[in-house]
Formats: sequence, C-alpha cells, structure tokens
Amino acid sequence: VRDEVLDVVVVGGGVLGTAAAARLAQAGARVALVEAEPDIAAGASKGNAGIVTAYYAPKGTLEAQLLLDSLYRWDDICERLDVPFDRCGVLTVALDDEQREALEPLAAEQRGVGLKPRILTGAEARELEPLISPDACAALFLPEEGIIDPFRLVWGYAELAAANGAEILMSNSVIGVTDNGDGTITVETPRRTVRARYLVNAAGLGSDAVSALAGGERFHDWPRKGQYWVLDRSFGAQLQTVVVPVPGKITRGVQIVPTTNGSALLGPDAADHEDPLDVAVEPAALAELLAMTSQLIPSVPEQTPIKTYAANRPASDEPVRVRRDARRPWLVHAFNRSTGVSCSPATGERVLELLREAGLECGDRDDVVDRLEPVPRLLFAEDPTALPALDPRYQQVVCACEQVTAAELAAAVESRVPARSIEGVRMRTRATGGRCQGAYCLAGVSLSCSLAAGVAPGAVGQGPRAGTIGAFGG
Amino acid sequence: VGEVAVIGAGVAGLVVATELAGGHRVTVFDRVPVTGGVLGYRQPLVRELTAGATRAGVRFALGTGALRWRERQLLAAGPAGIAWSAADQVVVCTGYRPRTLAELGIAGPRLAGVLPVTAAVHLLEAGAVLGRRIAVLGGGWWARRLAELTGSHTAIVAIGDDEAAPTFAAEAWPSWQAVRLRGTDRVTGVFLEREGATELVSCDAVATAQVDMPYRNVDGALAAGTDGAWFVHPLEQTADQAAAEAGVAATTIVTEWGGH
Repeated sequence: VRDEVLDVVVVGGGVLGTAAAARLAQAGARVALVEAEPDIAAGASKGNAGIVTAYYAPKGTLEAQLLLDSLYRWDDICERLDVPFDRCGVLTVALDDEQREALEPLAAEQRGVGLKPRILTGAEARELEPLISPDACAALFLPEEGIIDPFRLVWGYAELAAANGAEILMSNSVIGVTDNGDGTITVETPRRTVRARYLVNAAGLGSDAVSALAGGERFHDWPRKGQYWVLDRSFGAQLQTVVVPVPGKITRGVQIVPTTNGSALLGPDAADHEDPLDVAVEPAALAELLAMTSQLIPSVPEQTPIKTYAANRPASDEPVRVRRDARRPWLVHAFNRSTGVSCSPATGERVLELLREAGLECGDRDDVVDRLEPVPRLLFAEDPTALPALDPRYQQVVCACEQVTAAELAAAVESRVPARSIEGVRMRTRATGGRCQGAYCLAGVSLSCSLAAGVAPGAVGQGPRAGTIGAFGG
Repeated sequence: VGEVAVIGAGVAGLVVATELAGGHRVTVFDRVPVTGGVLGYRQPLVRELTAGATRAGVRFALGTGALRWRERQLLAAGPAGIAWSAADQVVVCTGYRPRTLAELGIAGPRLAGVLPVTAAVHLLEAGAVLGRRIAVLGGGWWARRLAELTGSHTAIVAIGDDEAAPTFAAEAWPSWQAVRLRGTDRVTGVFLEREGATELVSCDAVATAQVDMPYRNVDGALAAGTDGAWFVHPLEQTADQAAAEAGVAATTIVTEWGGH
C-alpha cells in the first residue's frame, strides 16, 4: 500500500530498535522497522556479553535512570518473550589492597541508586564462587544483576512487534529521509519507499549517518571493538556468577560470564577504531584476554575454547542518546554505547513518551499481544522425555553439541521474524554454535533454511552479513 | 555383568561392542540409522563387523543419538522417542571432528564460505557449489573426499598438508600454516606463514580439514578421567588400520577394566 502513511519508521533492528518497535506497536502505532542487514541483531546487539547491568553510570544520569527503570522488569519481560534469563549476580573481585579500597566507594554509589551490594571477604567470595583466585582479598557482590540471552531478547522484541502489526523490513539500508512539509516524511531504501510521521533512529553505529540523512543533528559515533572467547559448557556449568575485575576508567573490564546457554564468555576488551566492518579477531588481543581473566579464575587457560569472535559496540561523545533531535521535530534518537540490552525496556518506553511529546497520537490497544508462545528447548527441558508428545520433531536432534532438535529449528525458520541464515539459526537456537562449530550439523541446518526460504542450499546466508554458503549464491 | 552403552557404530564402536559383549549387556547407539560411521555401511569390513557384533549379542539403537549420561542413566533421542536407559558404563567411540577456527588459532573476521570439511562434503553431496578455488586446510580422507566431489572445474589449494603435493590439488603449500582469513562478507583469501615469511592465497571458499579432534558430545561423558566413561579415538586412514587401532584400543579398555 504505497500511499499509506505509517506512524513511525524505526531504523535499526538491534536491541533498541526492536524494543522501541515492540513498545510502539503495542501502543497501537503503525510501525515499520527497517534494518540494513539481512537479519535482526546484526551489530552490537549480538556482540555483547549478555549481562543485565544494574549500575554503570552515576546517579542522576539518563543511563542510570534507564538501567533502574529496566532492572525490575526483567523477570516479567523474559517470561513473556521466552528469553532465557538468570539473575545470578555479578562478583567484582579485588586482587590487591588498592583494588579492595575501590570497592567501598563503588558499593556506596550502587546503594545510592537503591541497589543492595554486599562487600565480601576473600573467603566469602570463594564460597560464593569457588573458581576464583586464591589471591582474591575482597569482592563486591551485586545480586540484582544477571545474565540474559541477548539474541533471543532482540528476537522476542521483534516477534512481539510483528505480532502487533509492525512490518519488519530486512536488507533495507536507509539512503534517504525527506521532510515532505505536510507533517509526513518519506524514508527510502534501495528497495522500498515508506511514508510516516515520525522517525526513530536506532541505527547503532549508523546513527550518525541516519541523523545526517534526515537533516538532524550532526554527531560522530565510532566503533569500539571487543573480542571474546567462548568456552565450553563443561566450564560454564561450573560458574556460579559473573566474575569481573575492579572497573577501570573507560570500561568495566574483561569479564568472565556464564551464558544462559551454558557456555562461558571471556571478554570484551575495548579498542577504538574507525571501520565498522572490521570484526577481525587478533591473536595478541585474545592472548591478553586469557591472561587477564586467568588472574581472576586461574583455571581459565585449561578450558576448551569453542569459538573466538569480535564485535563493535558504538562509542560516542554522548554515550546514551535517547531524546528528541534538536533540529527535526519528528526525529527521536535511541542510542547506547554499551548498556543497550540492559536499558532496552525503559528505552522503548521512553521513545514512546518522546514521540507522544512530539505529537504521536496512540493509546494502548485492548487487543494487544503481550506474550509469545514459548518454544521448549531439549537441552533445558525439565523432562525431555515428555517433549515428543508436544511435537515428534523433538526426537530428531540436529545439532548434537547443543542438543537442538528439528522442532526448535522449525520454530526458528517458521516464525514471524524467521531465521534465513546459519547465523540467524544459531542466534535463535544455538545450532552450529557448539563445540564442533557446525562440523556435523551445518549442512543439515542449511538444508532446513533452504527449504524454508525456497532457495538452494548454497544460497543460504552464512556469515554475519550478506555472504552465502555457496560462492555463486546457489 | 552390567549395562554398557557404546556411543558410535563405526568400526571402533563395533569392535569394542563385540569385545565387551561376552561379559556385559551391550547396546550400540548411533545418531545415523546405519553402522559404519565414516567408512559407510557398504564396506565389507563394516558388514562383517556388524554381523559379528550381532552374533555376539550386541543390541543396536541406530538413528538414536546419545545426549546425556548421569547417575548411570543415558538419555537418547531417536525414532522410538526420547528416553533414559540404564548404562553403567559408556564407551565413547565417536571418532574425530575437524578443528575449529579457534582451535586452529586462525585470526581475522568470521566469514561466509568458510566451512568445516565435513559440512562442505555434505553440502557438495546435496549439490551445492561451494567455490571455484577452495583452500583446504589440512589433508586426509575428508580432503580427498571433498576433491572427488568438486570435480574438474574447481581448483583445490592444499594448505599445510604434509604430503608434498596431494594428487587432487591444483596448488599445494605443504608445511605452510594458515594464520588469517581475508574478506568482509565472504572469504576472499587466506594468509599463510612459514618460518617468518607470509603469503596470501586467494580463494572463494575454505574448508577446515584438520580432522584430529576427538568428537565429544555426550554431556557427562566429556572428559577423560570421568568414572565409568571410556574414550576410543580411531584414526581415519584405511579400514584395516582403523580396525587394527580400534582393536588395540578396545583390548586396552578391557584390560584396564580388569583392575577397575
């Protein structure tokens, strides 16, 4: 319907764009979400450690407020969106006297925003997390924090948006935004032209470019590369909590993170650079990650690494930009340098408020979809033997390492925002993401994708961007 | 006499199961519905070993993947459903898998067109065209199988294979080591190193074919030293060699059990 005028175009299918789209669609706004890459969560939203943070910025800042407004909603959101979540706490470990002295001021700041940190002795910390170094002399435990599956969160937001009528347009990079002068704007991509009244700029590392295209404020965002190790479930299963060093000036430092899928992450480091496409892993940086994390947990180097990867998070002089544009009354920015996942529920809410201030008229609908049908996972099922009664495809294990079945694969490729690539299936199900990295299931997964999408197996996407398994798209 | 689950119905699993069948109740699990593993069920040796195992009283749960082992119970999924069954001991005979990029220490971006050789072979068998110039990292059975399937219009660049020049390779870089991938969306080349020298090999696909990591995927039976879990790792080479090595390994296991 070419002449239809939508309420809002959201640019960016990352955690903030999908959170905003979900909230707007629930409020009854007619929404299109445009994403440059072939799938959601293609940028910083997949390259993060999956931590739900409670404290990252001083009291009184926008970031602190967004974190707190999100913090107590996670149990409810994750239950409704079928997102793995575990409020396992974060343990900040001090290895010497200087670090120990840094704990109390940090705890005081955290208490200042209403959190309940506990200062522990070395012995108490080791009781809580027996893996940490005998050198640990004190620690700070923050029980409100936890771990989440960041891909499943983005997928959940996107599914919820789609269930409430939002149109999700992948592989559509914005190349033009025109103010029509009649209260509408026109958003152009190489493949589509969409008219709407408002624009939400949640383009992550593309935010500066989108703002410039829209005639909004000029600012500069740049990539901050972080590298990660993924360690086997045999190690992840032993971890009780997230283990982090006493924070440095710029970042929280390299963390040891149990993931909701049972593996563990080491990372990220932080290196500012200028090429958003540079996601190369570098042996020297990876070696440094191992050295740093083994100070916290000495057994780290003995573990089995199953993957290394790098991702860029967006850095900026304005670390959290969730506000209206100063030049364009119809433009709202939703940008976060690091705590995008942790701030996402409140950011979605805030974007709705800002658009209402700008004149968007919508109330909450009474026919709103506010939960998704959960997909049981064989690996985490309380009683796996009961699953085939739900769907006989649970008997067919496709990915042996992560124990992902044909039923789970089908849910991923048949959903409203379906996986169309190996990477998309991995993000939604974990298939190909385990210790053999697809040696035994990648071919089968690509056949599932090819059947669902109606393309040849070689034309199925493989990497994070547009690349396909086969050389000639077939 | 106890329940023994042998995981993997390849040559090693068949030999081990037959050896153990005299003193134990033995069930062989395999996630595919036939015996033979990497050799395939058509091999005369595989048929002979399968028949021998059956005669010895070995039971088969084929098409049934073992998932978890705990408290002497094995969870497996197959056509009969998902169920726990008694397994006092498990013997893991699931062979080898290709090393991952992380295990190979290969730097650079993670790109399309880079595949474990096992997946590459299955995709070629399904008719996919993977590339015109495929860099194969490592040699051996799977690399040769890939070369057989790609045909004459595809050039194989053999990297790091100890053989001086594999007959299937259009180009060979023996004793060079792949250190880094090049590309943005899709792989366009591999950087190699040898004794401080660096070279770039252009390609449009990469197969990782160093198939020497023990394949472990039964939770609870992952690490050596786990009480009641045993591991056999047959090498791939020829059927006879594999059988011989598996036999040796099986004998060792039986011997070790004596004192267990």
